[in-house]
Amino acid sequence: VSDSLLVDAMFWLFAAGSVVTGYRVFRTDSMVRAAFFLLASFAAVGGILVLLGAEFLGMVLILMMAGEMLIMAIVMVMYMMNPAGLNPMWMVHQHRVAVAVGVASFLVLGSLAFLIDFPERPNPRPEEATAELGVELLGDSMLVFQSAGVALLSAMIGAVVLTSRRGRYGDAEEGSEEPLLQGAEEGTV
Amino acid sequence: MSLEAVLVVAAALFGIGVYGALSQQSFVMLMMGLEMMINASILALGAFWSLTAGGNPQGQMLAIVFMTVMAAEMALGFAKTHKRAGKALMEHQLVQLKINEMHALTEALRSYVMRVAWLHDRGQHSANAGLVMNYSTDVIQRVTRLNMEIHGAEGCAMHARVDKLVRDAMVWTHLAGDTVQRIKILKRLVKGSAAAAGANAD
Repeated sequence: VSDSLLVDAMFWLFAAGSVVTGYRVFRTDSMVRAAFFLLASFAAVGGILVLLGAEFLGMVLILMMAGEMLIMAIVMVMYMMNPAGLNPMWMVHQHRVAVAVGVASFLVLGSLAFLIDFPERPNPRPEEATAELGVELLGDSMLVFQSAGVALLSAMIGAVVLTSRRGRYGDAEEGSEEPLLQGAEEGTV
Repeated sequence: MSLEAVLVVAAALFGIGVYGALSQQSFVMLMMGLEMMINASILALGAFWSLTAGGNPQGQMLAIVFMTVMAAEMALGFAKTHKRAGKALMEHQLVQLKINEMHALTEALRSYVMRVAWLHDRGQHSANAGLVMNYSTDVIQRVTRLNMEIHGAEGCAMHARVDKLVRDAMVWTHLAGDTVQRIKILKRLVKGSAAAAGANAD
């Protein structure tokens, strides 16, 4: 009983932490701090996943996000204005619509959790979850796993192509343009 | 830790993410909203896997695919894109109007400078020579600011040359366009018109 109480307490701690830090991401004056708040939110979600028995997923999420957000924080310090958050930062548009849609999606999705009758079939052996995932990844879902890997590789190549100073159609600094299609006239797309 | 509780937390994170993705002007912040939405989906998936699916490993598998999407989105999001809201920067009407105004101001200044040069060649001297300096200060400050506004559409990462131009333009407030000189020119103009009025009275 005390064990499940501890799990519950930790869950609510992580839940409150992830929501509060997630909210702070868009309410801080410094983009660097926004990156760290997002990292905290991700870490708390990773904690909840570990509590749910998905240790591998939770730890991978934390590891991946820690690396990603640290890179992001460095980028923020290097390229973004006002990394120390000394001035107020308020760069929003369509603010009321955004708040309304955000609240509405929370209410709709949150009410779905109570309105829909989900089957109650808890994971029978959570301690073997990582081994089961490994068998799944290298067995039945091998194709999905490999496709995800190829998608990641192409995303990396795409990112390098997009950021390189020399674009596909010449020097990016010169404002290079895509060549016209064969037979197309000037001024047509 | 019931399924409903976890799903409500996921819904809250998703709502915050939706808010961020819709409201933020900076592309990097918008991306943070998107990531929060994907993260909420991963949490909901984890809950379904753990509490309703009887430990079927495909639930975790799906979460891994979601993480891949997140990583790919991040990589491409960091890469600089040259399109704004699906259009090239030039095709936005506001940008066109700004470039139009920059062009009109520059051409007007050019005409004014040519006219002063023409007057000078004819040996006619007037307050125009000083006024054109004031006016050129106004124009370069306005034009460099418009230029900065157009480049501002890239979020807050700004090309260093863009704000250098604005700072350079500001220097001219002291070199050619400051208030003291404007007052001097005004005095000359008033004196000139008074003299002209006196001449007419005689």
